[in-house]
Amino acid sequence: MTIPSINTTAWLGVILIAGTSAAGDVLTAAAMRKLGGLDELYSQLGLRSLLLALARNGRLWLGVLAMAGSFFSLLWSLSRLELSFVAPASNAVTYLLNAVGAALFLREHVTAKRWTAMLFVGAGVWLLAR
Amino acid sequence: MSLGNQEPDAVTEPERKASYKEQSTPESTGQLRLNFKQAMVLAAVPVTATSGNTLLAIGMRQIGRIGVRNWELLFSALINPYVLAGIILLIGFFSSYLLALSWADLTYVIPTTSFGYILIPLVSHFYLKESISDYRWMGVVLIFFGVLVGAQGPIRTGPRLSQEEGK
Repeated sequence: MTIPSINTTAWLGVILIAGTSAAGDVLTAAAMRKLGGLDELYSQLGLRSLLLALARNGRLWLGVLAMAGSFFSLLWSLSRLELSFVAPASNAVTYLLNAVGAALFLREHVTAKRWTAMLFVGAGVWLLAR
Repeated sequence: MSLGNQEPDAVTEPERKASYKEQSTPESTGQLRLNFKQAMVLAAVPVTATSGNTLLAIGMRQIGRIGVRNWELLFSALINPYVLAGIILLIGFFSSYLLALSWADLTYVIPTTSFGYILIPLVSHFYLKESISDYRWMGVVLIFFGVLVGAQGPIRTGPRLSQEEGK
C-alpha cells in the first residue's frame, strides 16, 4: 500500500478527529469531576450502584457519543494515512483544544506550567507533522 | 469525598477565585500528589491507547482504503481480528482514563499521559517499519519535556461541579 503525503485531506482528518475528541474529553472530564473518585465510590456503593451512577450521567453519554465520532474518523484516517502522523497530530491538536476547554468549561487552574507543557507538545507535534 | 457530600470548610466560588489570583501556584481542591496505584492507572492510559491504535492500524492496512464508494468497509473492519483486539485495548484505555479523570484534572491527565506520543513513533519505526525523520525525533524530545513540565503541580484544581450545582 502506498502512503500519500501529508496534505489537505490529512489535516481535515486531524481536525475532525481532534474536534470531536476534545468535545468528548471535556464532557467526560465534567462527568467524572461531578462524580468524584471512582475507586472510593466503588468501595462505598459497590459495582452495581457505581455503574448505575455512571449510566445516569448525561454528560458521560454525550462525551462517549463525541468519542465515537472521533473513533470512526480515526478509522477512516488510518485506512489512508500513516499512524505516526495521524495519531500524534490529532492527539496534540486535541491537547490544545482540551486546555482551552478545561480552563473555560471545567474552570481548572491552567497555570503557566500547564500552558508551557501545551506549547512544548504543540511544537513537538509541528515537528512530528513535517 | 463522596457523592453530593458537602465539605465543612467549603469556600464560595468568588472567594476561591480571589485567593487563586493572589497565589503563584494553583490551589489544590483535591489530592495533591499521586499514590502508586494512581501512577499505575496513569501509565495504563498511554500503553493501552498506543497498543490499541497500533493494532487498529495493522487491521486497517489489511482492509485497505475506505472512501465514499466503499464506506461499508468500515463495518467489515469491525470483524477483523486486529481491529477487534485494538478495540478491546481501547476499552481498557477508556476505563483507566475515566478512573484518572475522577481524581485528577483534565489538564493534568493529558500531559502526563502524552508520553504515548513517544511510544507511537518508536512502535511505528521498529514494528510497522515506517521511517521516522530527524524532525520527528526532535518532536519526540520536545513532547518528552512537555510531559515533564505538565506533571508538576497539584493533580486536582478548580471547583467540584456537584457543589456549585447543588449536587
